[in-house]
Amino acid sequence: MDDKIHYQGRNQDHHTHAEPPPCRWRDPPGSSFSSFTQLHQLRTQLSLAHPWVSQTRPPRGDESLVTLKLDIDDDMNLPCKVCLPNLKRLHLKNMKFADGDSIHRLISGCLALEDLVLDLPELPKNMSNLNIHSLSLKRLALDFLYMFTFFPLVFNYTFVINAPNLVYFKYAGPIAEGYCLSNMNSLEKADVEVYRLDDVNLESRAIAAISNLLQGLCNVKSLHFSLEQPEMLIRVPFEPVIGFHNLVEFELKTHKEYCDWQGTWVIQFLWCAPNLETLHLDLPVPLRGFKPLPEEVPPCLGRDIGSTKLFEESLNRREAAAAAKTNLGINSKGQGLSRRSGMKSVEDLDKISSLPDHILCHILSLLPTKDAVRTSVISPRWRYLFSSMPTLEFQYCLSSIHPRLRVENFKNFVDRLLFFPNHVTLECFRLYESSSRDDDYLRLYGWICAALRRDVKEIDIRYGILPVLPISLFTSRSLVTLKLDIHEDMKVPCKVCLPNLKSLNLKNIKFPDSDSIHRLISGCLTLEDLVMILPELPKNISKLDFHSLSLKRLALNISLNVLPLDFKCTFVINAPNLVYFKYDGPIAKGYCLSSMNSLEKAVVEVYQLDDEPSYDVNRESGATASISKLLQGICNVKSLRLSIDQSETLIQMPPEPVLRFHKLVELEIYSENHDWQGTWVIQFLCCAPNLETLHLDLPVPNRGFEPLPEEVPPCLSFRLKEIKIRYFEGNEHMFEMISYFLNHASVLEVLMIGIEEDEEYSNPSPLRNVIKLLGLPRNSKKCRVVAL
Amino acid sequence: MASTLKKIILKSCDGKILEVEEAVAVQSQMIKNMIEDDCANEEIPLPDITGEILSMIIEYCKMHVDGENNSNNELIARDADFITRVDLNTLYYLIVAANFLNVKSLLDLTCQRVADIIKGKSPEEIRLTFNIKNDFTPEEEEEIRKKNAWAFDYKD
Repeated sequence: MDDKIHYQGRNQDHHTHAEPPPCRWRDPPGSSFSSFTQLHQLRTQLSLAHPWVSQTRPPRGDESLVTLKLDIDDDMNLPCKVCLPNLKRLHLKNMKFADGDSIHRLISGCLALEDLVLDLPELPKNMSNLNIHSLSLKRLALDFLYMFTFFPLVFNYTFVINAPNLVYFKYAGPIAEGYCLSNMNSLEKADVEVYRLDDVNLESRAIAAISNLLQGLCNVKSLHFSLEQPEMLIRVPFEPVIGFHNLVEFELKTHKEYCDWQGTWVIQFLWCAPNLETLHLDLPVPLRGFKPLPEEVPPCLGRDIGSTKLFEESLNRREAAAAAKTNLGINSKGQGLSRRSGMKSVEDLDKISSLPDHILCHILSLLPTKDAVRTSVISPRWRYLFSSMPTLEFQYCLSSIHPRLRVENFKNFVDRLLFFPNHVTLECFRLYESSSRDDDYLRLYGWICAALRRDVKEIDIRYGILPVLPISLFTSRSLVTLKLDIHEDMKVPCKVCLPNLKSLNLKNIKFPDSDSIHRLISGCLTLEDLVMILPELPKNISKLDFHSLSLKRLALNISLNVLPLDFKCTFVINAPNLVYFKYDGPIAKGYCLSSMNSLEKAVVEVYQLDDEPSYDVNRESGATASISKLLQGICNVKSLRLSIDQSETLIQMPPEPVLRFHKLVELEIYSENHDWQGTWVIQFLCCAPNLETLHLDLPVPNRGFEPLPEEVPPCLSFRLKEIKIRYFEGNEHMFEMISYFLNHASVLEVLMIGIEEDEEYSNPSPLRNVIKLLGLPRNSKKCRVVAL
Repeated sequence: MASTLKKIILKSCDGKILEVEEAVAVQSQMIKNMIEDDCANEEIPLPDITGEILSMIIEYCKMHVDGENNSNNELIARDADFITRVDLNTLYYLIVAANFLNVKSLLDLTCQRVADIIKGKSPEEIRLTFNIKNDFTPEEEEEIRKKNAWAFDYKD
């Protein structure tokens, strides 16, 4: 027979509690609370519709609810009448209450309640006060820590708690509007973990609320306090004065990595607790020493403190502890505190403001623009610093501003900033916005013009629709980097002259004709880096030209939104100085690549547009010819990543005309298609006589060696040092290939095998495969086999 | 063997003399320029840099010279370890010294640390942290806040 109702809803694992469940609290001495022995018999089943009125059901003698734990991720519909005369323990988790009154009604219906845990994901919206009145209550835990899933912008509730017999109190959650706590004379222990919601304006109210909360807890014997900015939010000396006369144990901690605190503040806090015996500080490295120097030694330090424990967790924390020890000068005898005298005059100065402008501007440019702008009210020294920042970044500012009235304020701000009569050249103007409204683009147009007038070096725009780009963008002498991510046609003017542009990154931009692309690129005389992610190609295009002698890196990504049936375009690329080349897209009709003698790395990821099984033979041979052309063009590459869907049918071995990668030392083959077999790989290796590293990222082949490879590739005999096989699940065809490698690779140094984590433990187990591999004969004496 | 390594002698403002290997010393662009101009044969006096700060900077430069072969992540972790041990007062002197000696990576690291400390703080908190006196009248402050109201709405 169940002795308690333990109902857990569907979302039991709704969030991962790092803490133990709230019911497991530490009991004050002398309490017999933790034993659930005196429970009444209970026949109410888990499916009960309304546990709230157990006593009003047809009377059944001794039946009554003593413990009720509910973890239901749902709204709570409470009846008008609640009567649970014998309920002692009530734990509610993940429930939502319709209004403040229902919480009140529920609690007042439990006449003998001793234990209340509320772990709620949200509070009723139309409520201002949360009232908890109970004379019987001994333990109260309010946990709103996981509220952030529904992150409220304000938490304007006032907690009115009238429970004079509490021995344990816990509050975890955002700092509320206010706390009104009755005198709790028997309070033994309190756990408080609060954080401030990010509304700057609330600061003074947060301080007042925490002061109220501490005031209410002033009789506690053991206090554990955790908050983010202790020094900011607990203003000592307290006003009005708070005295923790019963406090013998105090723990203060913060989860923040950086936190402002210094020794004086701790010492001043100790003044409020004359009888303190144990002090636990779990704080990060203090940024400042004693300032001002504490004037008198708090009474508890001189007399009572028995142990001062400074938590030592990580390396940082350990140093924090060391720093705190020297800063605090506390030891078990309660002496010290005389160190660092004479430091006051130096430490008290505002030194940061005396740093030169260029350093302060550099610091500001490392901040999000919003934070940088806020520094303008710090002091007159900081008033205009932000306007000289060389980098202006606005990332999703427009869309995140509330209310809408502020949007105009923001736009005016950017206007002022960009049109500021300022001789600082802009390094970078960056604006990201996910959605855009019609009237915004004209503003943006103006901002780009203004940035260009200030000789900006980098423009980085990510914007929805920007129908017109300023002509000056195509004739800037200062621009070095241009990144545009705009879902719009690009109207390239007749004359393009960007003499210093080194890097051009275009995403989602459509070009009306191939001439526009050609015009744009030929206008960039020193272009080194070109990235184009094209959502569609100009209609009826037959040829795309890329001519540039300066180009070093070229990445073409044809990620078509609408797949055409045919890709009749021919890519003509004349860039003899390329060191990096990437082509990612469907197989085009043709490729005409100039010889690239300095090519270091190439990435070729191609796929066939129409892979219906009924495709005609002509098209396939066309695709084969295209790929052959593409590979011919990059045959001087040193490192190649090849990803070809249906590689085997599209790259026919042996290749005709003869394909030779003489310089290739590193090859990676990637595919998701199972239709391949080892012979093809071996034959491909024949084309790369100097290969040293081979990575295969291929799925399980559906065939073995067929036909059996005839000649051993020369690289395998003389060069290949490293083979990495991404997945090996024990498949026999794969095994055949690996054993071929081991058997023929004479100078192999390492064979790395990625073992699939076998979920169903289907045999043979991965480990057995490795053992089997280790037993294979090896041609190379120094070869190691490494399982990953 | 040690004699083949050229040593640079640095003198701090409080009279501390430090001998540094050339490879470490040239992390400072200023010293590098001096060596190139052949002005580094005698001790180099460094006004405004105390011995304590100077040895920290040398520790940092050494770390970077020794760690040249280490992975990038390892260097970042070491940098973080170095900078979190520093309190605000020292941080200030490190910035001034890194600026004077022109050790770019250290200047970036220290400025980033200041930025990290400022980030997410309200103006009041920044003033408290750095002990900055607010010379604005409440009216002036209100005026500035109003002008750039969008930035004062929420913390990001």
